[in-house]
Amino acid sequence: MFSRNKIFSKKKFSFIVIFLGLIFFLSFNRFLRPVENFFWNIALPFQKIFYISGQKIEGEVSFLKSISQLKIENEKLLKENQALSVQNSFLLDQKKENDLLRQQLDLAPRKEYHLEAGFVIGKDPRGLENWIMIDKGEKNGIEKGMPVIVSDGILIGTVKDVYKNSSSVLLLSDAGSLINVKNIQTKAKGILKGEYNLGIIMDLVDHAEVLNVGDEVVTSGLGESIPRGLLVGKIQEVYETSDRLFWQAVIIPQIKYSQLEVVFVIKNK
Amino acid sequence: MIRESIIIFLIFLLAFFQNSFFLNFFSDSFVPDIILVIMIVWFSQRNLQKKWFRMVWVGFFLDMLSGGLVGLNIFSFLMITLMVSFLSERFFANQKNDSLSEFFVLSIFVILGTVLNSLIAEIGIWGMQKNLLYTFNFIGIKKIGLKIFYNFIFLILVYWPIKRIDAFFHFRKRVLDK
Repeated sequence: MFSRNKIFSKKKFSFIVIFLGLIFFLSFNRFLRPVENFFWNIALPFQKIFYISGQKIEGEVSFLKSISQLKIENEKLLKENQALSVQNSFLLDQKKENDLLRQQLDLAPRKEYHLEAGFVIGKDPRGLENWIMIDKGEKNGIEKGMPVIVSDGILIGTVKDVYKNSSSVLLLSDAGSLINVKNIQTKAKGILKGEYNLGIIMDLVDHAEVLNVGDEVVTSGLGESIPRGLLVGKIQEVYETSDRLFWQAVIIPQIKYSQLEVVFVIKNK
Repeated sequence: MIRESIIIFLIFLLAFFQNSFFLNFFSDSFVPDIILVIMIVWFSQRNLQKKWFRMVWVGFFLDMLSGGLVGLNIFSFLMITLMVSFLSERFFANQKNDSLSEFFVLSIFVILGTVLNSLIAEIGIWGMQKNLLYTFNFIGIKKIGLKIFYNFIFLILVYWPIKRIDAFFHFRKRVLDK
């Protein structure tokens, strides 16, 4: 029943085992960075072509799927348009009030930072939404650890790996992401961290502090690289840790990471 | 040499097709393992001794594109093709002459390969992040189940075209060898 033919000779088998062990060791200790850099220098045009063409085709397919909804949406939009025309006249005053409130609530002023815009050209293929790839890299002055935002000053992550023409951005939902944050309303401080495929948690909030569902959470500016006042999300749920020493809160991001197209890297102030 | 280079380049493109193009269509956050299915179909009929080096390239490209630990996919694909070759040689040699039976056998290989690949990937992620909870809860099992389903659909789509292409190249080689 069993064939005498071996799939690998002993010599070949030993070679493969040693080779794999070496690769794991080098990769774990980040010695393969030059290889990764070389790979991405060659692979970047292919990555852009495949990812962007996939996005465009997916967009067209979604459009075709939505055709049946168009008539209903059209009528709905006409009604909304009329209501918006009435509201429009109040918006100028609201803008002034908004700027004043942002100052009072200690949110980051939008124009203080030197921003580098980047297109999203890839994302985590394991489907964990842990990282995205952008088309800006070392050549554009990007450095590891730089915060990455979307247009309204919403923090989505930090730069993880930098290659010559591209970078990967570690999203807040990654288990390796740790950010100092605070509750805007109650000033309670904590650590924001990703939970493996389960979202974002604000942890280690002192039991004496107060957290309320619906409160907004921003970066606190403690630590070296992430400025204060960047919006992270809203509190969805609050609970005690099992040892009853701290509060924890589940944070809902303001942005859906799977729909990111353009992001901004904060290079300096 | 040229033929080998072309094959490796095709594998390179397939890796992007799987990890960059297909990624936009699967909103439930994972992608069918099209390379895995193609390699299983291909390797069930080949001598692994001669082709194992291509599996290293497959794994290498997928590792680079996944941003994870380099070597994980290399290890995974080598294990899967070892398993496929072993089972193919010892238990399923008779089925190679019957197309339908062969397809049935390949379906089993795809299921086993998907489970093995997912488990190795999870162990790798656990090793990096020290959290094995995900693998053994309902969400993980559901995801592996859906992945098996998608891979099986892809097997149906590629099995007969690959057989046709294979038959064409073997016919051509026999004609040229004469």
